[in-house]
Order: sequence, then structure tokens, then C-alpha cells
Amino acid sequence: MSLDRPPSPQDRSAGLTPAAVPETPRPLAGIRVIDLTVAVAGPIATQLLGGLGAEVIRVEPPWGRPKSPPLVPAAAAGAPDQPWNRIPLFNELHHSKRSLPLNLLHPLGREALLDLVAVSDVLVENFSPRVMGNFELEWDTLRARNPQLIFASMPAFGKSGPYRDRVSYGPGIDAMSGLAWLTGYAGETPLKPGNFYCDQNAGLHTAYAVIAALLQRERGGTGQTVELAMIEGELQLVADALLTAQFVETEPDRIGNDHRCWAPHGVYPAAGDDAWLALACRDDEDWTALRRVIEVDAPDLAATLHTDARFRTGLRRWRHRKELDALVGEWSRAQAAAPLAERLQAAGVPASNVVGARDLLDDAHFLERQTAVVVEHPQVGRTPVPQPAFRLRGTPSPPTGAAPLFADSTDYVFRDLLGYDDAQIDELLAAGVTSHELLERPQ
Amino acid sequence: MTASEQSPPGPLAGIRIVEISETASGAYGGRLLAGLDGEVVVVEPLGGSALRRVGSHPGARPHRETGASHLHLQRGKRSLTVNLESRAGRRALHELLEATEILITDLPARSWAPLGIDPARLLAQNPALIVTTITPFGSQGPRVDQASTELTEYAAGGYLRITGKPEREPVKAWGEQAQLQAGVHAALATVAAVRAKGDAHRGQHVDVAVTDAVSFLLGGTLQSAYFFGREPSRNGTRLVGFGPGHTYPSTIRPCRDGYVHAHVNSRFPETMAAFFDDPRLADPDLLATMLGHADEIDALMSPKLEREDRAEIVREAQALRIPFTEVLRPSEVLADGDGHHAARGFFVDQDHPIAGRARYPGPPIRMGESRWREGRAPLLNEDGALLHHRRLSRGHPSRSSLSRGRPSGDVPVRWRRAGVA
Repeated sequence: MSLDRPPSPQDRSAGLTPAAVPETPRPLAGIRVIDLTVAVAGPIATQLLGGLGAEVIRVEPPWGRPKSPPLVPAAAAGAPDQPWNRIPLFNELHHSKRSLPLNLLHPLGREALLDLVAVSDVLVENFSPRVMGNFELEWDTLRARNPQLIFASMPAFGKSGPYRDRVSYGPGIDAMSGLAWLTGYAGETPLKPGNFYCDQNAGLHTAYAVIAALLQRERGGTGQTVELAMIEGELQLVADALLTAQFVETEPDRIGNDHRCWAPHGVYPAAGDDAWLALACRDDEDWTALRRVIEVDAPDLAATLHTDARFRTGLRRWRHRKELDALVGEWSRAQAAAPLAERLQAAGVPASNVVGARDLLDDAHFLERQTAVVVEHPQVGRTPVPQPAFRLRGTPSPPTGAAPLFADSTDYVFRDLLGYDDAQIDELLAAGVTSHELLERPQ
Repeated sequence: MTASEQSPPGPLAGIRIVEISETASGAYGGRLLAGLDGEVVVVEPLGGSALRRVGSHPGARPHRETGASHLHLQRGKRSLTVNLESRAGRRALHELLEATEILITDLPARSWAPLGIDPARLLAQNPALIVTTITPFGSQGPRVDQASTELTEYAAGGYLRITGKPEREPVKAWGEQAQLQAGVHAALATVAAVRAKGDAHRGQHVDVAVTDAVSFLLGGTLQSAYFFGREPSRNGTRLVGFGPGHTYPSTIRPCRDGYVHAHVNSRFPETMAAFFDDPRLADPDLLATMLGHADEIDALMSPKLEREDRAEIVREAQALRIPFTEVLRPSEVLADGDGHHAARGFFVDQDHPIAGRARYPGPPIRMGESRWREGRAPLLNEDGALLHHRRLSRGHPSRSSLSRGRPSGDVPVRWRRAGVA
């Protein structure tokens, strides 16, 4: 991209494909989901169900979005100035859903929710376990209204046990699962594994379990509870370390980017600011191919790598990996990462430049694969949303639409789904139980 | 093989699934399907799947039956060896697939046709089959045939860039996280495909890319790059920040006996002032730009953290609904000091005829009216009687180049790929 001005979002999205409307029914067509989720993990679970074709009704408090969020994109031309509808992370997490403001602390709000339960298939929540009780919306109450309901909960530590009432976001779970302890540079402090790692993991497992429960119901079963304790979802991902802690006497520890058998294997500096190359040599073939690529730029180094006894076998390379990493780094730091990765790939060596989100928006494979697509948001315009890692080739299921404007489905839910008359709706509006606009939080 | 007798059969009871896996991606996808009570048959080469050699072994003595990844990920499955490089082996697989609803594999795309598992061809023969493939880059796009590993897939998907210290090289999250995430996507999509079959019993190809699973973790980063032309960088022990106005702390901090994960209650950030007994932590200017004041907040937290133990800090914070947690070592997770996992019956003590008794994570999910299939990992070809396999097992261990697309040396390529030899 060559421009005389800073690139605009439209420039950056030039290669992204709009989410298409598929010709075949999506797998969850006909399923209705009530979304009571908060933070990140729960919204991902319901977003996945929405993309697969479920109608997801996001229930938000009538004051449920910040009126002045700190960083939002500009409003699209002609759109009203409603920054609460332009929050980037919100709009990413909540695409393919509807919005219904509802105050569950009010008796009328609670009753309206139970009416909605009666005509829905799934309810997903990720409050701490006491909250649904505070709403008087526990399983027995929900089941009495709809025995076919799938009631999915995503507490941090589960609905039972000594940690039941502990509060935690995803990164706190990373800490308690051992994953944070294991992640980081050798000999240094534990690190977070990136962003909201635990949240995506929990959302994916929950969506999987909800669909499984729907299958069970359709095979003659009934409604049921589904519980995903975030910690239990994440402990699946560190099972090797948990077994290692039992099999050998040493505690599993941080090894940075090292591999247990391969060398060179790491992230090496490249030319430019914060530019890096990830490289892995699995065997002698990769090693020979790597030396041939190095030979083009640095024949002396290539010769050294070929003749030095420390690097003659895979085991020796691994034992001397620190010295080897230093030599590879000397060579790589003079090279631009992306072309170098291409040269290595052409030689059959696993390699990638360490890409960022901006790189991905220009990446040919990312764009062709439609790892993210754009949806049209009424107040923001074109908005990229990531797709899950799967493509259902027989029943394509791209996002069904942008995140909902606040209260976009108030009338739809009360009139069309629940059959409330004007007087009932007016009563709810007057009591502040629902709304057509964002209200102030009650004091 | 055992399954909880307390609950009715699971959602996939009666459904046969064939798994051909070399990595944690296919194996974890298969485990999630087995857990739902599907009958998962792992078809392995005569020498066993590469996965069997991954991870530690009891007493550090390698054995094909005792690799940690195999022991965990293959629980509740059957094992059948078939030499897919022989015509008879491929014929046997096709016979098996005739009585199968789902094939899940993480073999590379270039091996599909030679091994007789090309999705288009299988669907032409059996339109009701669901063929779930997990490959590094998916089945379309310019990188489909590129060589890759967990590390390079992490880099290509964009997540490596946001883990590590800002002044250092990015560092990968521990383990095979990219593969495991791809496995969850695969299981989710596969059960969706089962529901999509409908009355017409239409199968389909479910195409999963490991790098897409990595990109899916980016959470907000793509939007930031798109709208503002910038992306959060790795932030060491701190959560990646989207700007100084981001809430803080969300970080790992040292304390007297280890580390705690310190996290603000985002809704009531001023409670930090009470917890640390320092009014500065309720200052409106600080609360307005918490990440911008991260160094100062760390300094304000340090005195208390340095003089108290993890358990004490966490107990006090949680009493105020401030979501602090302990940073635990794997051995401490297993030790389960407060008995939380024991109270929930989470860990499963499982006997294995060669690995012995070990403690494994239980199910990731709990369903009130459906049983979860557990059980130990199968011995190699323990269920060989599923096929008249004697004619198939003649010959030598596989030395195929199919998984790499080029000639191999003395050691089976797929073993080298897994770092076994």
C-alpha cells in the first residue's frame, strides 16, 4: 500500500472480504440463545453460537454500556454520536447478536426474562455463582419455565468447591492453572500468555458443550445444565506439565522459545524496529537447508556452521543451542524478516516473521482464508471481525452481522417474540426495566 | 474403557469417529469427541502415532505407551494400527469409514490423497461422512503447503508478538497451545456439523487452520490495528494495553513466597485503595489512566505484597471482591492445597498397565444429563480386532515421506517431526 497520507481504516480493510450470506442453512438455524454474559469469555461463547446461526439475544442492563468509553473510532457519516455503540472490543465480541436492555433486578425484568426463557433453547451466563441466585434465576426456576432449556454457566472456578465464590478474570485463571508459571524466558519471572488467553479457551469449550447438549436433546433427551469452570477448561492445556510433575522429580519450568529436542529453534532478531523471525529446524534436512540459505548472505558463517563439531548432529546442536542461537541471530539481524521467512520457506525450513495485527490485515493468506471478514456496522461502517478457525465447507457460517446497536431489539423481543401489548411494554419502559436508549445507572 | 454410570449416554453415543493424528490438535479434537461418548478409533501407523513419543515419560524412560501427551489426549479411545501406505491398508481404512460418521485428522494436506483420506473423494464415496481436517494453514490460500511448527504457527497467527517483555524477543506460551486451540475449534465445528446433517444426512468437510486458531486469540487487537493503525505490544507480566486508559493492575507481581496475579476489580477500582491502605490508589487522575500509572501502582502495591504470602494476599483481596489469584507451579496445582479440585472431583486417578497410576485432569465441561467418557489411553493396536488386520500388519514400520513431502532418512519422518529422533 503506497499512500501520501496515513492509511485509513478503509485502506486497511481493502483486502478483507465482506461476510457473505450463505445459501445453505447454518448448523444452529432455529435455535434461540439468551446471552447474559459479561467480560470476554462468555461473549465469545455466544458469539460462536451466533455465527453458527443461532439467534442470540444479548440481555444488557438498561445502563449496560459506558456512555463515554475512552477510545472509539469516529462515527460513520450521518450516524448519530453514540460512542457506546462504537466500542471496538465490544463490537468484536458481540457480532452476530441482538441487544435487549433488561433490568434483571426488577421483578418485572425477571419475569420478562422468564418469559423469554420459555421461548428459547439456550441460556448462557458467566457470572460468579452467587449472581444468578441473587436474580432468583437458578436452574430449578429456569427449568420449571422451560424443561427443554440448555442452561450453560461459565464460572471461574465452578459452582462448587472452596473457590466457588472466588472472582477472577481470564488472566487470573492463567495464574492458577500453572500456564503463567510455565510461560516466560528461562530463569526469569512467569509471564502472561499474551492477551485474554483463558477467555477464548473457555468460550470455545462452552459453545462446543452447548451444541452437544442440543444434540442430546434432539436425540430424545431433555434440557440440562452445562458447566464450564474456566480453570477446568484451562487445565486441559497444561496436562503434559501436570503429568511431568508426577513422572520426574524436577518441576516443569519455563524454557522460553527453546524446544526439548530441536535446535536452532527460536525467535531471532531481524532488521528494523521490533522485527523478529521465528525459525525451527526439526532435523538434518532442515539444518542443511538453513545453512544453504545462510550461505547466500554469509558464506563464512555457513562454512562455520557446517564444519564446527558442536553443530554436527542434532543432539550436539541442541546441547550447544545458546551458541548456535547467537550465530543465527547475528545473521538474521541484518535481514528483513518477511522476505527472509519466504526464502526459508522456499527451502522447506519452517519459518515465519513475527506478524502483528497490522501485518495480518495485508497478509495474502489471511485474506484469502478469510481469517477475518468485514461486517457493516450502522454507526461505524466497515468493521473487521475474526472468524473461528473452522470453515464448514457444506454449511458456510460467516458472521451474521455487526454487533447490535444498544436496544436494537427491544420491540422485536417484546412484541414479536413475547406478544406483549402496548400497555405491558409501556409499563416496562416507564419502570426503566427496559428501554429504547441507554439510560443512566440508577444510584 | 469406562464411562460414568450416573448419567445417561452422551450426545455422541453410538457414533463412531476415526482419528488419524500426529499432533495434539487432532488428538485433543478427538478427546473432546470421545468425552461426549463417541467411539473414537485412533488409526495409527504400525510403529504408533508420533504423539506417543511427545512429552515426558515415567522415570524419564521413553516408551511408546507412556508419553504424557498420548496418555492424556488419547484417554477413552481405541487404537488400531493400519499401514495406510499399503493398498490393503487403505482398503481397510475405507471399510472402517463405511461404518463411521466422522473422520478427524491433523495429517498435512499433501498426504490426504496418497493415504486415501482426501475429503472430496471421501465425501463422494460417502456423502454422510464428516471429514474434519486440521492443518497449519487450512486447505486454501498461498501458505497451504508451507512447512511449519508450533512456534512458527504461533508467529504467523499474530499471537507470538503480544507475549513477552517489550524489550526482549517475543516468547511463545508454554506447550502446544496452538495445536490444542485448533483441537477445540475442530471439536466445536464437528459437533456443529453433526447437527447440520439434518434429515438428509449430509456430511461435509470441516476445514480447520491452526494459524486461524492462533489469530482467534488476538481479542481486540485486530480492531485496534484496523481503526487506529496501532496494536498493543507485549507487555511483560502486564496484560497487553490498548492505551493508558486501560484498567490496571492486571499483572504478575512478586510477594513473600512467590508470585500473585494482581487484578483490579474493573467495576470498583477504588477498592484497591482500601486493600493496600493507600488513598493514592483512589485518586481520580490515577483511576482515569490506570495503565498509564502502572509503574506507580506497582510501587504502591509492593510493600504489602513483599511482606505477605500468596494465600494471605489472595484471601484478603477476594474478601473485598478484588480478583487476585496465586501463581501456582504445576506441582502446586496437583497438590490442590485448599482442596478445591478434590471437592469437585476434578482430577482423575487412572491406572495404566505400563505407565502405572497417575493423576489426570478430568473433563473440561460438565453436563447435568450426559455422561463424559473417560478411561485410559489405549495400548498400541489394543483394538486390532476391530479389523481383520493381520494381513495389514505385515511389512515394516512406515517410512513415508508423506508428512513432509520429500524423501526421508532412516528414521520415520513423522517421528522426527515430533522431535522424537
